Amino acid sequence: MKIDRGTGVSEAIVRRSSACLCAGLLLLACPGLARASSNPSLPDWVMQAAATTGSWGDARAVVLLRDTLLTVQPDGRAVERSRMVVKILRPQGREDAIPLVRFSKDEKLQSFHVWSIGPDGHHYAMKDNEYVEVGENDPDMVYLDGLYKVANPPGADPGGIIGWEIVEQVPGYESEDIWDFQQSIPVAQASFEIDLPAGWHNRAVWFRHDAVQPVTAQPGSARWQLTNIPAVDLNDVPLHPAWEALAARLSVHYSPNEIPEGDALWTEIGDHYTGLEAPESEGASDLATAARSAAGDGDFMAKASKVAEFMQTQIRYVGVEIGIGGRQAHPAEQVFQKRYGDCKDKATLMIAMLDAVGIRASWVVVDADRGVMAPESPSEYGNHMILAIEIPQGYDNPRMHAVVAARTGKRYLIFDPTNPYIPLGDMPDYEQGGYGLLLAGKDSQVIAFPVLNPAFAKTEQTAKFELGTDGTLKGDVNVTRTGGAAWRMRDRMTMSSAKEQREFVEKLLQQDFSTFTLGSEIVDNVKQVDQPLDLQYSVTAPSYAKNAGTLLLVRPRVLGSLADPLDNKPRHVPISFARVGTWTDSFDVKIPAGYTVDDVPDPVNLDVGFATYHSEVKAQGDTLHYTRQYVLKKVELAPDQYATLRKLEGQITADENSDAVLKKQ
Amino acid sequence: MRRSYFAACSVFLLCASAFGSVKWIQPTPDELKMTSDPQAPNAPAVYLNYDEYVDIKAHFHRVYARIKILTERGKEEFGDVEIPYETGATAIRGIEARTIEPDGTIVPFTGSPLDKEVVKFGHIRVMEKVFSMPNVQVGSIIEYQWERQYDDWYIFPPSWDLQKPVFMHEGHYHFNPFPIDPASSSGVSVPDGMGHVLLANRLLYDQQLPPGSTLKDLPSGIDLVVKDVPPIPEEPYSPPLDSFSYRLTFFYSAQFTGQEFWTSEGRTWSKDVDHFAATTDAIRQAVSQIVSPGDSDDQKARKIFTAVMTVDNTAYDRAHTEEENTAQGVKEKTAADIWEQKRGTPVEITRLFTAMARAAGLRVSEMAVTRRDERILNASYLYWGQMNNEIAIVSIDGRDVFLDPGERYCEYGKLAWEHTQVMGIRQTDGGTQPVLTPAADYKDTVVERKANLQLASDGKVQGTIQFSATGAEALRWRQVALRRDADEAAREFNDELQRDVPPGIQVTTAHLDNLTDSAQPLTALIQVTGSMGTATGNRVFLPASFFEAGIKPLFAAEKRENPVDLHYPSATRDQVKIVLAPGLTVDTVPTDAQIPYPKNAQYIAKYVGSGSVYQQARLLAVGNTVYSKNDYPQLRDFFQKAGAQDQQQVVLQRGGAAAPSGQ
Repeated sequence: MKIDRGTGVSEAIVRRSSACLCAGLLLLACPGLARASSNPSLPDWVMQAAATTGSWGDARAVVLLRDTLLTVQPDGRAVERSRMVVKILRPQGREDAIPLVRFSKDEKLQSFHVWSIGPDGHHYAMKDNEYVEVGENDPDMVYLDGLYKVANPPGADPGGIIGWEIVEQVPGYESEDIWDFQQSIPVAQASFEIDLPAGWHNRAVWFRHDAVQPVTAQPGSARWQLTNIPAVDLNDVPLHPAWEALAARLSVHYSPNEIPEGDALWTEIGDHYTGLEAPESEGASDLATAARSAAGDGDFMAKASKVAEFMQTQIRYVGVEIGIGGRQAHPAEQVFQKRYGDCKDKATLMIAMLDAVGIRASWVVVDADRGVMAPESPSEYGNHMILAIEIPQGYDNPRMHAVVAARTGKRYLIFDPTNPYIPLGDMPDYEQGGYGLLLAGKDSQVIAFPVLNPAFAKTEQTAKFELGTDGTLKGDVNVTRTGGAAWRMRDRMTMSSAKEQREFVEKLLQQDFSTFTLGSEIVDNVKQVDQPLDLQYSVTAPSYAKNAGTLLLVRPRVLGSLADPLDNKPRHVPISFARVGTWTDSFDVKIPAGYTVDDVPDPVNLDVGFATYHSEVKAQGDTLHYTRQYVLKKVELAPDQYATLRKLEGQITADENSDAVLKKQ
Repeated sequence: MRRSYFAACSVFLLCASAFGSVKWIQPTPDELKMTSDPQAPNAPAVYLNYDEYVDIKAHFHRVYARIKILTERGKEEFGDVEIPYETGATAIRGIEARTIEPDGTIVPFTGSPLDKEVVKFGHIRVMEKVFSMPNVQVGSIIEYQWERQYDDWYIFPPSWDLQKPVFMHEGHYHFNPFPIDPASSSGVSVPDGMGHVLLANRLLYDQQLPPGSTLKDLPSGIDLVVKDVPPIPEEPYSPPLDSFSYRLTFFYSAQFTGQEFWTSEGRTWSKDVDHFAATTDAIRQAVSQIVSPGDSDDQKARKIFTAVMTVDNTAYDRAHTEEENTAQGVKEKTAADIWEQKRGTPVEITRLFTAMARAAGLRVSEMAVTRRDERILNASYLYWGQMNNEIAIVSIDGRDVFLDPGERYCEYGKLAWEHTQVMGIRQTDGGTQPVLTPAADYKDTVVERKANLQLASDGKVQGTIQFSATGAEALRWRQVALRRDADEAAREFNDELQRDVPPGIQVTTAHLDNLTDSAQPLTALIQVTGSMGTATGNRVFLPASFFEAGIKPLFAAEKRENPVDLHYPSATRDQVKIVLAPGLTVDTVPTDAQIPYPKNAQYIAKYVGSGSVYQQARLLAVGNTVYSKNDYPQLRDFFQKAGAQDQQQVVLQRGGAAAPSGQ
């Protein structure tokens, strides 16, 4: 399978209504149209795979065969033949057995054949005119030149077997093929073979899998084979990393030249990419004039911040990818003129504008999901482009948090112009703790992104409430978010009408009150990304405190839950948090006249290394004062820390639900 | 809503009106500096103008839009334009667009729209012209226009949704129809939605217009101007809003009036039903194996209904291809074929029931209905395709019993909620007639949950839950199992229950019982483990309502613009018994509560604490399912009060035992 994830993902920041025609829906619409030929003989490889037996537990389907052959021609173009045989084990396994191929202008489809064996043993072979063609659709992209051919084979019921073969051209600008042998269902047998012209070389790079030697390795040819590959099924797994970060794959690089390994291979890939992007960042004079006007005067950070702000506010996210446009940006001049572009377009324009004001910057290829890129697996695998801005030697500024050092000794400030809510200096949480490929010609290298200090992403809730004798709670709440804690809320508020903003706050309150009325509600600094985001509101919650005889029971943790719902199942995959951060609550509840505080919950003080949690309830005069602080310091934990996390979450949940007891005097 | 007949004008003017060729509209200074719209205070953008001009004789359809962008969201929603079309029959031409910046600077769209394939199957190829507006900023006005050109052999009478996703200040719609003489024998071929093609020679329309708007019959065609049209609000628990929106739909018909149409089409449909449900020898033979000569009518109907429920229903499975049917020697022509192959669509299975019941000597009529989760039947729109389901009505001892054999595992004597209280066309002795299906009763869907739990001194909980359900709730889980499988249904059921019970509790549902026997309640035995309760000093607090501790209030929003549809009436009865460990005693339980909502719903909760045993009984019955916007405050208040009651606590006293750990 070729790399087809493209670039230009915008992490759901950009929303656009678009008709979505997915293959599944389409198949439902035309279920009875197939006229496959009657009981034909099927290819031997289908029949042999169909005879595979095994035990696959409660899997919904199993891949009996996944066989790929890549034949590279002397001019660098290649042809890939993929064969797949899937057995459906449960009704929901039908979705795993939909023959599907993506192709495009540069990846021409040479042939597509589908066969099936019904649960009753009947054989079917589909005809060309029975396939449906569907345009590639991504709600964040205006135009993609990809098309899908999809089949609705007869006999696709539990016990049925579906086989298909795809022969497709691979464009000459590709030099890496990815064999994604691990799936969300078990794979009984998989193989990958590469045939190269005389004198060509290959380099195998494994991801999340120990290196496997090829079963045949003649000059110019290699074949890898694996059996009984377990599924990576993340359904119902809480706090799991991205699927692509866990599923094993093999990248096979091929070239007429010697292919280095490790860091040197990263450099080679980066150098190749730099050659693609660099010409596009040449800017005309009007672009330079605009850049100088936007940047104004000031030091490095002041000028760069102004250009960043221009990118975030003036350049709309619009993705158009045709052919190599999936990885090569549009010219900076064009993006500037039209005021729109995708992630690599934005990065390219920003590099050009920074260059015009004397600041050097480079592209960085990343994946929008942490863990998908790994330093030990050099690859072009990635779906997003950001940039690294060279920091002048000796320069420092307390606003620069997202700083990395290259092996050249240069320091870079990492910035993602596609995210309009993260100011220069910070970086989005989904990129923290991950890796990226710095494109700097011969100095290209893989770089590790920092996990920022939890103090830079703060959520502070403060409130003053008054409790009535009938249990009604009334008060004013202030929620302040800074840095990485604010951007999702800024996005939500930016994309919501005033009515929707109010409904959102009502939904938040719904989590903590069974009955309530939201009073005034104000959001401040939504667009001032360098200022804390403020949400202020007033709320009245009848029946908040519960009468129990002469007692009144009050939950001092009035608002917000910090506990993630976890399960009791054995944990096999790492634990992934959305971000690090610091959460603090400070709530005062004035108790009604005639009542005294009879008892309060015990304080809680927990430190598990990756997180700390402290909470305390104090009775001070006629007021219950609740404070707590939760600090999460890591974005990923090993699976064996799940029990510790579960215990922590249990203690937080218990603390959140504890009651203070008021007694009638 | 009213339906009108419109006679096509004999004088046809080809694009001669001022409307014929839209030019750009110069923005006013007020439009340029506008940052929000007092008439649409929450809008991300507003249509300043929206025009559609349809000329059937000249075979084109022109659209012009002028949109003011008010927020970032408006920029994202309206900054890109997608125009779908079908190749061969139609083409898009004359795309022009421009952006006007808040300072009045005009930035024309100078590129070429991209042609994007949406789907291709056989000879059908649907494409989209897509383009991005240049320099769109908050405050910009974007304008674009385009034309869809039709092939000479096609006629597309317009169907206009007069409510846009955002507020529209002015919309101008104009239709120049194809002239057909109602007295002539010529006309246009139109599908009737039943698989037949009719020769239609009358142009009719169905209208639901905004207040103050009227259609004008001009020499150049039919003209409509609408002003200040709000968008359709999206809210949870809304009925199908498309059935309530402002619209104007033109259609060609072979009949003049609704009565003529529904009578005529009903007769055709009824013949189709009777033909398909013919009581052939094969059907009679099959029925003789199912019923006994001495069976009462009720027994016969039940036995046949049960037998028909064993037939695979393709609505929950995979429809087989023609090749598969050929390979298996299967035809799909009559009820007998369906019985032989043991597979059919919901309509085919309903007709199979009808055939068998008639063969057993029962008096059965069929009824075509519209699912009310999708749309409300609009009798003014003369199109049979609105009828997308069928039910059967059996006369037992002179009483009509409504049955839903096309909904696999629906209980005998009940309809799927989507088929309750809907208008439809019923077979009668003399032909057909419109009737209303019966409403469901809250006793039709009863959920019972009984928890028997033991609470240890450290807060650990062990016990079981006995669950049973009938009606819509049982049908829901049975059909989940049909679409996926029994294991998946049990897993999803467990996930739902897990969200409802107190934090720290784990529920384990190994399987659901009676999934394929709709004559029995759906049941499950659920294991309960985990821990529950919090401690403060020597007191321990437990949620008083075990089954609702995790449930959030149904309606959060204080204001409502749409009616509310709760789908089906139901009753939920809970019983909880918690036996406490030695050292724990019940100190205080909540006061019993009754929350009435006369004629609509009722909530009752009773609590008993005695020594080491705590018990709770709770009933929530909802009898009425549809509420107007004006009823919303009372409805919300009822559910909020019930929710508050469900959050009450039980206070236990402990003496020297370890504190509950919480989790």
